[in-house]
Order: sequence, then structure tokens, then C-alpha cells
Amino acid sequence: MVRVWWAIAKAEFLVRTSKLHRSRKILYPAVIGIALTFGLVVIPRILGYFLARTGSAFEMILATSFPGFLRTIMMVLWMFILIVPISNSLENVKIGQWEILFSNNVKTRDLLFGTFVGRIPVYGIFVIALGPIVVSPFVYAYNVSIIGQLLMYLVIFVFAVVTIWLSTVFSTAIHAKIGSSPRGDDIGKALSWAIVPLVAVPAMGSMYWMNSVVSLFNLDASMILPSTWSADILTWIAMYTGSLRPSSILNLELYWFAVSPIVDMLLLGIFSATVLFLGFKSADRLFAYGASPGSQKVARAGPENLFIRGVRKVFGGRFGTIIATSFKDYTRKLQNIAKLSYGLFLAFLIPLLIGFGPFATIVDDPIFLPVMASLMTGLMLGIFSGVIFGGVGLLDSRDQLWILKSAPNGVPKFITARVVSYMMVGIPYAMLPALFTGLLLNFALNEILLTVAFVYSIVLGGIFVGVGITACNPSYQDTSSGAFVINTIASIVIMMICVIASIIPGVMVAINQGVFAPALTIASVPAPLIGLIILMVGMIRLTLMEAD
Amino acid sequence: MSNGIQIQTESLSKNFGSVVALKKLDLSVRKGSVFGYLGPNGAGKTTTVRILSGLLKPSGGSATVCGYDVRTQRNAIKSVTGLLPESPGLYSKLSAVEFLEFIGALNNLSGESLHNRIDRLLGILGLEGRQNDLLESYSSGMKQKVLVASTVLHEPELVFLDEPTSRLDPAASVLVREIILAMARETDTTFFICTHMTDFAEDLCEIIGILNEGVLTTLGAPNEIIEQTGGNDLEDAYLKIVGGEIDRDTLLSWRQ
Repeated sequence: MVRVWWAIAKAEFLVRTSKLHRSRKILYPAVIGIALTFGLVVIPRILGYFLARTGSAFEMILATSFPGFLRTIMMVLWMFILIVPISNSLENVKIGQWEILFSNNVKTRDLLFGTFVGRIPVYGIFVIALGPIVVSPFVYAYNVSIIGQLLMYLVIFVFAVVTIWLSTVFSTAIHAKIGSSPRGDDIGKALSWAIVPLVAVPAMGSMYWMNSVVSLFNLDASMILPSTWSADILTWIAMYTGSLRPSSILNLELYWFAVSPIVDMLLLGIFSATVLFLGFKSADRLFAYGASPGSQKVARAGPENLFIRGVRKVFGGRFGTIIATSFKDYTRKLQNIAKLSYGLFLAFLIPLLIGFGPFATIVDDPIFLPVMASLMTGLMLGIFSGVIFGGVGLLDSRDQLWILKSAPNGVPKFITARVVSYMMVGIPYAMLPALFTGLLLNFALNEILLTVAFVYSIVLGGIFVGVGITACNPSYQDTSSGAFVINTIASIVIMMICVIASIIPGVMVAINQGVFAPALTIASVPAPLIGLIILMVGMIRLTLMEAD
Repeated sequence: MSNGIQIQTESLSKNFGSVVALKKLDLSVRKGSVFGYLGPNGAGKTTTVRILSGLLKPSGGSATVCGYDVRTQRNAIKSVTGLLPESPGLYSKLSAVEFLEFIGALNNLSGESLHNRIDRLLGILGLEGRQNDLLESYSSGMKQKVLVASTVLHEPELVFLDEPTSRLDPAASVLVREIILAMARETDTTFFICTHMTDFAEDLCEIIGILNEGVLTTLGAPNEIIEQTGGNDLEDAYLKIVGGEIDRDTLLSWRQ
């Protein structure tokens, strides 16, 4: 007889690998093979090649600073394995299948365990590919034995499995909490975006402020993280199974280890056992769906605010109504607000990185920093706005398209109104990071205004490109469709080309003439122009588009 | 202009690649009548509606709707017709009032008269207490009522309804039926209704067309069709025409 949890695990695996579809039996082992080759052959060779060329001094530094570096890497890996499955599962919040399973007398523990087991072969691929990044430098710097390497992989495997379990428990809890609400899908999609900065911060930190992060992580505060415990266990295994001199081992222990590795192992063991125990123990509570008080809460449309009334007045009766409804529809979706916030978050990082990151000390030029900061902020916001304003936001469903098409000139009226409402949303989206850039880097008032205008022009380009591409090939609300993936890639690539086409003349003027204002003015022109052409093409195609 | 005929088709056809969705349809629908279009799933009903409402170009043949050509005067057709699609394509983050206001604006309506119309329609459909709730919180039946309201909001001459009562409870179905009858009799509005509900069609429609695999196989008044086939009611007649009668032994054969 088939075990229930095994059947659920199989179904979860089939869902997670649905893109491989009929060729799953060939493609899945092929993917595993590629990941293994990447991890065990490609990564060690690349790292070995670069480490061999850096000389003995660097090797020395490497050998002594590795424990700190490993703590950062393990934290990023931990966040990645923890958050990516949660983020993926929140993209599509549905608990309807739970009803089917429970009506077939499935136990909640079987459901939780089956879901977890089904995820291991999928997210395990990342561990296979990324694990050697952790192990290979040690192998090179400490000359770790084969047994040592196997032990290190075992620790990574256990740590990854516990993390996948934790992410399964978290995502199940969130699904149960929001799944029965009519707003659940929207909240889930918003959360899937909001959760990403948690990965971005340490990732960017490790890239740009490695030294400070590493030294910061040496503080006792980092010792509360399970990733630090496992990193220290890996270091410990590498030290004692490698060919380091006893004096070096002593130095490393004194410098890096606040507690004994035995304590780390105990902490990691207790953490793993607790997470497993609590997960199973809470299974019944996690799957008590439909019980949350928020699920019955009905959202209502309140009276129109001053801004909406102003929009109606400025644009007149019918067109004003279409713009106002488009504006309400966009801004009431939490996922849109989350995407905008994420774009703003990344844009705010740009001036911080340029003004206070490695660039600040390398280049000390009165024109380079302002021009670079403005161009990069525009680049970040522009590329992102193609995704934020295009993609799934334009049309919810094919039936919505029929409703628009059944009105005379319905599609052009709707697309124009949508673009105008996006242009209004784009004003604070462009203005806030541009003002922040100007104020942080001490721009003059006219330079701040120029930066705002430049960034807004690039955002306009992004809006036009995003809407135009989506109108050419509507993906509706389906983020797993081929149309969505193609649109996203096309929007990003076209926006990158647009922004590069904008930046090149700007940079040329900045370099040749050393002037800020003409550089940004020239850079403001190409992106919205190219975007406008794509928008027109999209609008015509959507108007002419017929049923399939 | 239209000589009392709202829909006139001659050898109207539609192919999607090698798939024939509609084959040489010849049809006339009189102004102010209620026409029922029956057929199994995938028979070509929705394709016909999309061609006649100006959303889809035919592959062959010709058709006029309210005197306008479906190939060359599609915007004119859209301005005098209303379409209720098969499944609700509503904006989840708008309230019923906001959605109807949006549809009104798309059809060049605005101001006090539009708002009065919206209030009255929502009142008739029993949604007056929920008109400001976001549509995401509506049940499927309530969403269907909002869609019905959006279809008749601009007082079209001809209304296409694709499965109008499939998600409605019996009371709401009766309400929609009465709205259709009142509009047909009092305002001379023509209704073209695609449905699987044979009892609903039998009660409401003056003429019924049965479409099977893209071909219009039967056309006539409900009682004529019942008589011709020797059935007890329209459902019986429908099953005899399209096939669908299965014996009990076959139904239980899966258990062996």
C-alpha cells in the first residue's frame, strides 16, 4: 500500500517540476548532473585558478579570515534556502487542495511531511550547486582531507534539510492564515516580494562591505544565528582534517571562536530537533484553515479623496472616470505596493553604495559621483518599472479583455487611461529616490531638479515599455505562464538597451565637457522615445488581437 | 435599415487553424425577440457570439448585426450591443459602483444619469447593501449579477448573454429571466442567449437554435423542436439531437 505522505511528496515534486513536464524522467537527472558538475568540477577549478594566481600572502589572509567569510556565506545560503521556497509558494496562495486531502482522511502530519519531502529534490539542487562554494576554498586553503570534505557536505546537507523543513512550516502557516481570505492571493503575492529584501541586504552586504560585515559578525550577536553555528562547525572540521599547523589552529580558535565547536554542534542539534518537533506538533494548528477572524473581513471602497476628485476634474467626465478607476485598481493591490516599495528600496541603496561604498574612495571627482549616482538610480528604477507597471498588472483575465473589447474603442481608451494613471504613480516613485540621491550627495537645488527630471524620464520609458510589451503579449494574472516569463525578460532587456542608449550620450558629455546639466538633459531623451514606440505597437496589437 | 431583423448571417464560418469552430451558419434573429442558442461544450456558441459582437473576424461568409457589417463596422456594432462573457472578468479591487461607472465611461456614459441608472440596477438585483464592497468579496452569483448590470447599463439594442444563469441560484435566475422578458417586451431589446439550461431556454426563448460541432442542426420554436423529435420536453429533445443518452449498464461499467 502506498504511504500517504509519499503520495503527497510525489504530487508536490510533480507540481514543482511541472515545467519539465513529459521529459521529467530525462531532464530531472540531467539537471542534477549539471548541478553536480557545476558544484564538484566547475566551482573548485574556477576558485582554484583564481586562488593560485593571488600569491602566498593572499593565501595567508585567506587561511586566517575564512571563518568570518564562511559565516557570511552560510547566512546568505540559509536565507536563500529559507526564503526562496516561501516566496515561491506565496506567489500562488491556494488551499483548495487541502479540502480534497482532508476529505480523503489524510492526517495533517502526513500532509506537512509529504510537502516537505516533495520539496527536498527541488531545492536540494541549489544546495548541490552552491555547497561546493563553501567547501572548495577550505579544501584549497586548509588542504582538507577527503573524509573532512565528506563531513562538511554532511553538515551542509543536514543544515539544508532542516531549513527546508522550517520554510515548509512557515509557508504552510502563512497559507493557512491568508488562504481563505478573498484577499489571500494578493497578500501572498505582496509578501513574496516583501520577503526578498531580507536576502538582498546580506547578499549586497557581503559583496560591498565584506570587511565590516565579517568583523560585525564576529560579535556575539551573530552567535544567535543557526547559520553561524553551522559555519563554525564547518571551519572546525576543515581545521582538524586539513594540514594546518597546530599554532595556526590555535590562532584561528582564539580569534574566531567565542564558544567551543562542541557548543555549536549542541546548539545546531537542539535547534534542528526543536524545529522538527514543533513543526510536527503544530501540524494540526497550521492546517486549521478558514479559522482566522480576518478571513471574513470585507474591504469596502471609501469616499474618494482629494486626489481622485482632482483627477476627475482635470481629465473630465468619462476619461477622468476611467483614469480614476484604473488608479484605484492599481493602488489597492497590495502586490503592486510591495513591488513599488521593493523598487524604491533598491533605488535608495544606489546613492548609498556610490557615495559611501568602494567607489567613493576610488574616484574623487566632483562630476563623476553626481552623474554616476543619478544615472545608476535611473537605471535601477527604469529597469524595475518595466516589470512593476507591465507584467501581471495590466489585465487580470482574458474575460476582462473581452469586456474592454466589447466597448467601442475600449482598448485604446483603457490603455491610455492605464498609462496616465501609471504616470501619476511614477511621480513619487521617481522623485523620492532622486531627492534622496541629491540630498545625500549634497547636490545644488538645480542639480536635484535635473536629477528628478532625468529619473522620471527613465521611469516613463519603463512604464511605456512594460505596458507596450504586456499589451503585445498579455500574460494576465498567471505568473507561471510562458508569456509572463517572456514579457519580463523582454521588458528588462529592452529597458537595459533604452537606458544604455540614454546613458552613453550623457556620460560622453560628462566626460568631454565636465558638465552635469547637459549630461542629464541629453540622457533624458532616448528611453521615453523608444518606450513610446513600443507602447503604440502594443496598443495596436491588443486592439487587433482576436480569440484563439 | 435592418427591416426588423437584428442578426442576419449567411454561410458564416470560423476556423482556428485546422479546427473548424463554426460551419456555414445561416441565421436570422428578429428585433425584440429572445433567441436561445444551445449546444454541447465546444460546439461553437461562444465563437458565434464573439463574431456577432464584433470581437472576432469570421473566416468566411457574411453577417450583419443591427444593420452593421461584422467585418467592417465593428465599433458601430459594439456601440449598440452589450456582451456578458462566459466567466466574470471583473476588477477585484473595485466596488460594484466603481466597476459599473468604469463600464459606463467606456460606453460614453457619465454624470448624474449614469449614477441613477447604477443605483437602480443594483437595487433591482438586490445588491444595494453591498454596492461599495470590493468585488473580491462577492460570491460568484453576486459577481454574475454585477456583470448582468454592466451588460444592460448602456441600454443596448441587442444583448449577447453567454451562460447568464450558470452561477445563479433559482431566485436570481428567475430575476434575470424577468429582466430579459421586460426589456424584450417593453423596450424592444433583442436577446441572444447561449445556455446549457434547457428549462431556462424553454421558458424564455421564442426561437431556439441547436449547434453541434459547429453546425446549426436544429432551428425553431421550443414546442416545434419537442414535437419534431418526439421528446417530452426540451431537455429530452436536446439529448436526442446532440446525443447523450447512456444506458445504466454503461454508467456502472467502471466498477468492474
